[in-house]
Amino acid sequence: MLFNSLAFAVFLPVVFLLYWLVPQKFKWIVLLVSSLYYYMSWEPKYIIWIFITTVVSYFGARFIEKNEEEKKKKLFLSLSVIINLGLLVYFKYFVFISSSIVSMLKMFALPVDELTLKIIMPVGISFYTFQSVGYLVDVKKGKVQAEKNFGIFALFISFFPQVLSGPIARADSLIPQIKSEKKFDFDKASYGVRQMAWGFFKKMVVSAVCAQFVNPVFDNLKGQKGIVLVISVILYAFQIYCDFSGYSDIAIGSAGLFGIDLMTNFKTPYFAQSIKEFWSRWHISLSTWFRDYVYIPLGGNRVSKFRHALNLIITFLVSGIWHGAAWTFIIWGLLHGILQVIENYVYKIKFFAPKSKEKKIFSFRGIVTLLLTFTVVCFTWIFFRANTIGDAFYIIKNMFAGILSPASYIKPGIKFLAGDIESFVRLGVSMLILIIGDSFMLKNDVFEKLGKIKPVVKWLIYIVVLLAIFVLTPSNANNDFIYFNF
Amino acid sequence: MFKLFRNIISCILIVCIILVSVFALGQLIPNQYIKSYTAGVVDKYEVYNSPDRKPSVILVGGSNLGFGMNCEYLHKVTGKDFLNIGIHAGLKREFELNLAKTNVLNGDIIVLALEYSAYIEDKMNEPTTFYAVDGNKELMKLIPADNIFNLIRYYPLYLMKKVMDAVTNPYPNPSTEAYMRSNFDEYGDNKFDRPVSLHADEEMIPSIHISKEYVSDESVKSLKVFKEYCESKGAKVYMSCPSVDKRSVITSEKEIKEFEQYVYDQTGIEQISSVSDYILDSSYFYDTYYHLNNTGVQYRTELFLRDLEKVM
Repeated sequence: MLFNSLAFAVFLPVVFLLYWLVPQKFKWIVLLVSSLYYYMSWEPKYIIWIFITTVVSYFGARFIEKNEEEKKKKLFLSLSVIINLGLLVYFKYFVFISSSIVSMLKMFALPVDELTLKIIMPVGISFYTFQSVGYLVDVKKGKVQAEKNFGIFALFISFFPQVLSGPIARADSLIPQIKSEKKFDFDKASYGVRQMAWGFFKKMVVSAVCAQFVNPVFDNLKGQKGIVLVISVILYAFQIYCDFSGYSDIAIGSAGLFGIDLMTNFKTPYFAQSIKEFWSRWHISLSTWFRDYVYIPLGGNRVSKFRHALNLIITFLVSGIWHGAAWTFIIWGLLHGILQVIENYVYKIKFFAPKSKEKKIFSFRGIVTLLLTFTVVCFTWIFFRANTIGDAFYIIKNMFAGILSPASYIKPGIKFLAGDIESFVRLGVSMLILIIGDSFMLKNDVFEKLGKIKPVVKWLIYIVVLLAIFVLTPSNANNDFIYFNF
Repeated sequence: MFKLFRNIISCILIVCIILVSVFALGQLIPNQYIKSYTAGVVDKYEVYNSPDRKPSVILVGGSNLGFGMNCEYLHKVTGKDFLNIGIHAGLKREFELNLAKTNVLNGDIIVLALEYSAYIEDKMNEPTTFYAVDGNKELMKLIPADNIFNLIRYYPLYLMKKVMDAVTNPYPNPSTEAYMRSNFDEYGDNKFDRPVSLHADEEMIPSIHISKEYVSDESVKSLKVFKEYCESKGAKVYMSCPSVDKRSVITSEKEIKEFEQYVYDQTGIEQISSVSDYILDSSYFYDTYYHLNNTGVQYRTELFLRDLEKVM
């Protein structure tokens, strides 16, 4: 059941009505049953794996808390984490690991039987596994108490707005909200609806329109050269941003309808003026998870310079691996780690050194660092999107082919963008709305402010966004969300 | 809580009213694409619905018929009346069948030659649909209900293009002369001289599945309903095949036979042609893997005549 489907358009209002009509003590049950139904709508047998994760984490946390001995706490933590991560590794990486081993053995001309295996990954496993591992570690640290109610814990793991692709929730935030007394708040619900509408616009319009340009290029690179590759990479940057942040907005907005606040997952990341800042704005729930459960336990930056650099690289390498079982993702993660290490040295140069917390984006320095950061991020997206490493290097090698003749370099780009007037209009209008919207969101909570402005202006904005969704969504758009693959 | 629902529904209603208003206002600007072959569907509709029309052999399908049959020749050889109402395949199966249903006469022989994509799905190509039906209420009635929402959504973009063309280049010619509406004769055949094959040397990516795996439940249900309707009017319905470039076909002979049997079993429509006979060499084709050149048209017409004579 995709968010942008008719089934969800029926499912959500029904759950919403039921939730607010039942007495307080049954509200969490409504959410649990609907979350399980939602999850099983993808494939009923997937429920087994999320159930195993839930049981292992529930009892793991109870045992951790119950035992006084540090040794036993560590044992139960290790056991629970190994089982949870083991499931993730099996579903996500087994085929990749085995085929990589086979390829390496073949390189040395060693005889090997290829393992023909098809393992279908349960949806959301990367996300709910991390959520449960984070919970176990927090219980061990004493940061949060082990939840005694199995049903409420199951809801924490399977809460439908965020089970498939986050935001990865922390137990100390989500569980108390599940249990707390709720009264219907019209302003909060309206905020949620506005955020959902913006999310639908980003996913169904901007991301889908960009995909129409990007996919034919990346999926058929033969003969592609020059500016068309550059434009495709840039458009992919917007495609993935709008796809994923759109999903997050819909998830957060949906949760808001039930009076539950999920953490912000994106904060206009392409306005970042450094890679470090980019990661404080992009997929925040994941980057903070890696910070708290990988980077800091490794020592963070409270170690030697060399060890700090190593910690950064390891953290981002793991992040790359988390994204997918392919060398392209590993290189992508590695690149980000290395770039952050380089950046720490670049900051020593006066021009690039962060001057204060409040950085002016529209100063000369601000624009230069913003464009530089965006360029570097786009470069890393090449590896993220390319089907193979070979494809990624093909793009890098050919994207500036012919640049010494500017006129003939630029002409194919104009044809690529504006050859079909309809697609060009969709792209132009949708990007304009996106840039205007995100620019306002830089310093304002737009969804809140919309609730307070004059009704005429507010309704005009609603109608423009809704019209944009209706009219600009390509009819042959792929409705899947990119991050469902992770 | 109900205020929230009221606001959401009000917003959606306002947007729908705006879209319908845009559509109504857009009708004030005439169809700019009347010179294109797609717009020629109205000519076929008018001939087909002419009060003087006698029972005939009616050819129903996509442009494999418009660019692939010589009905004048068939008329001369058999003495029967023929009418080719094959239209742009972007209008899709349901529109083609609805067009055929507008005037079924007792004694008609209706022969279907649908492009293979018609068995898979039925989503109309939006610009093609508007080129064909814009400004014509009778043709608009033939649009299947499940396509209306997408067409209404698309209309503002089409209107933008229509206004731009009306201002800068009114009633533009199609990009290729072969696709002029004026090239179609009274039988519904395209008579543009197509002596050669324009794409015989081009690399073709095989993409046509002729397999029962690619036959949707909706398509067989729709064909069954069509057959029953036509028979209730006293007409007979048969299935022939489109001619298709062999380089574009993916499937094996076995799968093709299974496809033929499956379609017959599911629809009950008697097949007068064998799919394999109509998978032709690329030298017979003009510019796409369904459109024939002059030689191809004659070859296919004679093939079809041989098949039709079995049931005439």
